[in-house]
Amino acid sequence: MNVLARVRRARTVLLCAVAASAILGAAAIGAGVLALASVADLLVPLPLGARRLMLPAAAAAAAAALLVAGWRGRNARSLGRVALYLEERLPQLRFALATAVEPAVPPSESARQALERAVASVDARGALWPPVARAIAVRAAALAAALFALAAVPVGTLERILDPRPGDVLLRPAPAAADAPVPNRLVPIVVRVEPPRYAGREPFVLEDPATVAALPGSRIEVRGRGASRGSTDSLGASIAPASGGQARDLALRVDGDAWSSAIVMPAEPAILRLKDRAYDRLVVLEPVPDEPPVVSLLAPLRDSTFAEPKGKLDIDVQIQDDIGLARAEIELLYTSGGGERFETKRMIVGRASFDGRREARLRAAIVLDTMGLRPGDVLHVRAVAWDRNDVTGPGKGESETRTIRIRDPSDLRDVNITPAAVAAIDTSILSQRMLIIRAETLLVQKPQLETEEYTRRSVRLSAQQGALRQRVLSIINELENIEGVGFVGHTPTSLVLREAAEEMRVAESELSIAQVPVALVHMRKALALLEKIRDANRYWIRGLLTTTPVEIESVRLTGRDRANVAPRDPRERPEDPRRELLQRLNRAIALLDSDARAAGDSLQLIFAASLTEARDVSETLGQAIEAMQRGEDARAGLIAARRRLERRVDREGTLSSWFGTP
Amino acid sequence: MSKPFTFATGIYASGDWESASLVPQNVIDVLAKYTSLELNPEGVNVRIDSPELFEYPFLFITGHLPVFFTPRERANLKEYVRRGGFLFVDDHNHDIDGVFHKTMTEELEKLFGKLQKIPNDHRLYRAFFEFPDGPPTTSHELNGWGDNLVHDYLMGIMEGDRIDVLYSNKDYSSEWHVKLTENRDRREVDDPAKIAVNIVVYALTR
Repeated sequence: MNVLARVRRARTVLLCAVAASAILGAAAIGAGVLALASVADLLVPLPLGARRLMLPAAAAAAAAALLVAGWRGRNARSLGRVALYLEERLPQLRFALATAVEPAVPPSESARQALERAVASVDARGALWPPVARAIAVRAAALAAALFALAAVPVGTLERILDPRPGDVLLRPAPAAADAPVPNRLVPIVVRVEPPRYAGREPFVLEDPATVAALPGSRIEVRGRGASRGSTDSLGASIAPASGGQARDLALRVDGDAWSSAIVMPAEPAILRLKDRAYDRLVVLEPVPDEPPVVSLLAPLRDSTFAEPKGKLDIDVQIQDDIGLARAEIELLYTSGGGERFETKRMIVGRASFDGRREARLRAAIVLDTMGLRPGDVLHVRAVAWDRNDVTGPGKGESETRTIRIRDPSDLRDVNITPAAVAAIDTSILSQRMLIIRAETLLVQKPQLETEEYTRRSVRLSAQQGALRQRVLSIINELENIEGVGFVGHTPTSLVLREAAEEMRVAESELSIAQVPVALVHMRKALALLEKIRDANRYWIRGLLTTTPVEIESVRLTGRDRANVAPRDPRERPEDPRRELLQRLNRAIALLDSDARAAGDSLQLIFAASLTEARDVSETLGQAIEAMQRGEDARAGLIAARRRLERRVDREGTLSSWFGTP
Repeated sequence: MSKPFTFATGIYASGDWESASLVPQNVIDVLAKYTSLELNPEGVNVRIDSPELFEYPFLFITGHLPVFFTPRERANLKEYVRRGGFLFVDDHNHDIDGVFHKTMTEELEKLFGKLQKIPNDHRLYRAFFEFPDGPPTTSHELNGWGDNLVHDYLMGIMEGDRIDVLYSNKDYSSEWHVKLTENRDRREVDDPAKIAVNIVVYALTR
């Protein structure tokens, strides 16, 4: 074998050694990361998110180690470097090998033979294999150590690192029982929630929850472990309504070491009580209702009274649902008649299916001219939508109902319909629009006008604006007062008119000091408000009834029939469930220092009751309970919940009472 | 603070809340005739979506036309009853198939749950006058108007024995809308007048 062949063989050996040690080293590092993570999880449970990072982290560390080893061994590819590597370990070669592999000038035949002889005279066996074997052995040992560590970790713990998933808390080894041969089998527990099919949502898993919030109809499975340790007779589960009532026992299934119990989420909050010998545990089942669709009538936007049954009525409906819409329709109730005879017909003027969409629009139009409407007739327009809830539903959402009336001039006898000065508002709109045009013209002409002339014209506009404001004020007066009675209250229209009058007042003031651009802003606002009224009411506004006082003293106790007269007490106000909750919460807070566990159980029961009786407190209370379970101080949260309960209880007071014996 | 009793009529956005505008003064009149209750001589019309509603422990609602409460009206009415207010709803149609009945009962049941028949021996019928057979018959029922039925019971939303919401399909509104003691046959006039006293007295006492 000549020199070149020997160096090539050495290069092959070195390349193989680099590859082997790189692979072994990478594997050792990857396994080491997993082993460390497993040990850490054994000591302190790692959160799911952190565990999900462990496998990628191990792979990344291994890949990095592989790259580094490959980079460091890159010189093994070069024959010259391999020759130098050997020269370094065999100084007696005196660079014969390096010179033979990479001669500075092509050697003569005699020189080449001299080099061959020099290389052949050196025993090179000890220069290559020992360092190669050492490098591989070190990495193999590291890998063996990491694998040993992994093998020593409990299988469940390793599974939590290799295949982390919600609910794998049950894979953690049970703590050594210090005071009992069988530990509390209610810790930990895992709850798997499978939402009803119509919701189209993925199942989810909760670990050691105090509260399970899910759609009614969801399948809830509670799982625990330790069934194979001790008797299962003492294990049990029951459910009771949070508002009180009979508890119902649940069936318990045992499969090897695992136990489980399943239930369907009820429509009302409930308490799930788990029992194991002297241990017990409460889990609040909080049904999250599938809200019915939210239906908004975008048009018509307001109730209206039409002077005549003419024109087109556009109906525009917006529909939203939290889960999914099934269908919707626009309903029209047409009522005609009078006195004691009324007839109502129901019509559907628009209908659509939505196939689970969460948002939709529905539009329709009614031509009033063709409906045969008569004075005094009433149309009620509303939209109704249904969701896809096939468990507790379908949820039905309704829009507000718009009432469209056709004015009946003969009905003035009974109902005080105030015509609201149709012409007055209409002419006010025209006048305001005209004033705006004049003010805009004045602004355009300003450069050509003397300052005095400009001011004079602006002041004249101010006076005209003032006159128009007076007309609007007289309409307000007409709306808010009844002849012979006086002020009867604001109406929606009068309130808008007041806003318009205020804008006019500001415009009037600005025009009086020749601030036309500023005045224009307020003039346009006033015009917009006037137009808003016209669109909203079509001018016909139902007025307020007058009331006639009774001369009580003249008729007092003049009745002829005998009656069952006896002293009576005023009607009692019903019990306030919030007040009762407040009292229970105070008692639970007082228990915190002396018996934290009992306080915790009480708080969970109060939380469950609050889901029905005081929804505004539930969230704060739930957060406080969770903080307690984490071992944190929950006092601040509990006090916040108490304040919220107190505020509402104090604020509400009672309805006014009365006196006198009937 | 105690106040004299005020007869409050509920104003709602849909329908014809004002269809029996003479009821307040006639009921106040008959209350004065038979009771020593401190009375406000004038009834009030109160929007059921306004906070003013909570000033009056008794609320009367009537009408002929379909009723669809606004969300605000619903919330206010629910709160009103929760705080102990007494709601009396009378169908001015005296027709069990009428739209007021259908829509109003739908609204009430949406707010308060299922309406129940009030037993005819309920203390409502002994609260002041004795009505051993339950609610008195109205002239419309006797004349065979409307659905040609005599509705021999009232309905309500009850908490145990206590009535929170009283619902009548008998059209007392029509009876009370006319002057109760003038130019009417005694049978037609007195019984409906007397049940008005019972309803108010029941609403104000336990």
